[in-house]
Amino acid sequence: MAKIVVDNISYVYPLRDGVGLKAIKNLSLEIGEGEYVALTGMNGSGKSTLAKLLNGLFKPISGRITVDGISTSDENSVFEVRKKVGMVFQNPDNQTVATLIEDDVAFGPENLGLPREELISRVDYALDAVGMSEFRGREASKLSGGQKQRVAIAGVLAMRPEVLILDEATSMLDPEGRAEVLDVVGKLNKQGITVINITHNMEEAALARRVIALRKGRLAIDGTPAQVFSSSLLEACGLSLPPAAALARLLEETCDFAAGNIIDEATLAEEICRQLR
Amino acid sequence: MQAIEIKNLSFVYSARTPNEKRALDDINLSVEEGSLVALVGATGSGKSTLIMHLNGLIKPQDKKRSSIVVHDMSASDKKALKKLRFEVGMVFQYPEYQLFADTVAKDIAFGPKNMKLSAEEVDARVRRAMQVVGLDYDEFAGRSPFDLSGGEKRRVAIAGVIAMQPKILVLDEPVAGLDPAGRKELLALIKTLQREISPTVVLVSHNMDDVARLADRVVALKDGRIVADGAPRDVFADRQLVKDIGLDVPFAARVVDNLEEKGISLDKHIITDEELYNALTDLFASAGKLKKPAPEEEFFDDEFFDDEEFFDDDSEEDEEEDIIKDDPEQECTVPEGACLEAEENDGSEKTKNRRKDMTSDKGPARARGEGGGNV
Repeated sequence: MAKIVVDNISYVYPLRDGVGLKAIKNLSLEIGEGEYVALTGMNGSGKSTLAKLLNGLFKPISGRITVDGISTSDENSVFEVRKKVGMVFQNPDNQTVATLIEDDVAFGPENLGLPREELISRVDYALDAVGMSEFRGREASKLSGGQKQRVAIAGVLAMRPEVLILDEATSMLDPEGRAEVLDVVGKLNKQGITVINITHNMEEAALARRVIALRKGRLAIDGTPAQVFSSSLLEACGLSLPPAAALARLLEETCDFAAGNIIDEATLAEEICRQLR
Repeated sequence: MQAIEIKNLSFVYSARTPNEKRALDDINLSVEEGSLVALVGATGSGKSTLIMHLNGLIKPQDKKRSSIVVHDMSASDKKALKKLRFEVGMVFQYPEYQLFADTVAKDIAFGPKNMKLSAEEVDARVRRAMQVVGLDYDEFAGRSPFDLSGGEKRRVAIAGVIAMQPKILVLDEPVAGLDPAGRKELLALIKTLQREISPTVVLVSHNMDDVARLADRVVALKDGRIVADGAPRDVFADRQLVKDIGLDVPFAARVVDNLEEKGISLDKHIITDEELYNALTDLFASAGKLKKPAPEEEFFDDEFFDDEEFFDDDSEEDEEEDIIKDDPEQECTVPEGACLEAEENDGSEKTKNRRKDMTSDKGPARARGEGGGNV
């Protein structure tokens, strides 16, 4: 059953008087409950705009988006949508509101006017889910980038969202921080949270079960990572193959080697070993 | 000749408070003029603190012990400070956030104007900087930098720095947040900038593949100390050291390690995709499993510098289509199918062209690539 239904939406950014920039054009897609989707495409393809449309920060100028059947365009119910769809943004330094980590995580649910016990249990759950419980009394500003992003995710989790959108949430992190965040995201997805990860990193996109690529505000490719990486539209979308896939294909051209659906280096090494025999 | 000479440099944040943190611990580093040095290390290892010393944004705390000399100028000398800042161009992370003027040309002119150059010279430098970063003057000079794409904005920001024609260019994570095409384009641009404008480049990066491909030398920091320094090939070959520092190795080296586990031993000094590809084809060749002669050596270079696709992109045409007037709904009714079909054709066409480029020997794509798309 579809969790999110995007039905023929368009979105225009107003630029100057009467002039606008079309960022999303007649886009339709469905995302099912519990899916792990990577949303990709070149800079300016409409990824972030779509993310902001999905939790009602923006409203489509035509068409309709529903989350669990609730429309994002309806002022009376948009808050319900925002409770269901949580977002984590790019810059780890722009997303903390409180000095102490536990206060920061409590900020969202506090605003729901929850009783204290419920608040505490939510903060406990959220910090535990991202592996940051031992840091709860520390200052947010003293954390590494990866830790800050995990706290940002915890802040969203404390709202008990059903959908987690990461808008290039790993792009400012070092490799270690990136791995920490992706590990947490994978675990949350296994617990049933629908994940939409916006990324330019093809190895990261390959972690998802479904990859959606936008091009100039339209849906260009939609499929499994293997399908997407073999699409003839990949380059037109400003995307590249993960390095293991690119190398496998080069080998295929010159050697007796079948590239198949190789995406990561471990599979590449395995296949080289097997096919050399 | 040394472009940068750092001696006994230490730096402590919040000294004599409970939050005291030693960011740099007795750094000694010389950077030779004309080299491209990659500065690597985990978040918090001291990279940013170190580069901010290079143009006097941070002054050495212990003036007696430490010294920083950049092209014969002392970074502690207040009188030389202004000159130092023109000499060392700093491109910080996400430099496009620092754009401020209402046109691209005015934004780029800000630096050279502060150098008190004549109006003609400022104009000439703006044009030259735009040319080098691949922004067409007639098309972009009068536009607002805020209406540009992410990749274009970043190139405007970089143009604003190189318009001062610094002898040393410091780039802090220059490709972070760009899409794969934009990354490739900007990485190729770094070599162009080094050749055309700034002979010495200091590149801060978390991406070891970029480091392996671009840098002559890699300097690794950990907890404010230099823990590795050498040619990327040699530094990455010491896997235990790389692991101890908390760094990744390039993709090619990871494949080598994966193969090693399975009993296939390749040279630990392999760090680029091209070297790995060559080693693997040798392996297949000795197993008698070669299809046809391997492509020429510069295969990967060609792919890497093949930025033709970015420059003759059809975005111009499309942007006009995207800018709409008055009635926003009007143009949103293009039937989806028609457009997707057009794009599919477009895509396969590009793939075809690209194949051709990759197999043709040193074709026009390469020539253009080397000139930053301006030859």
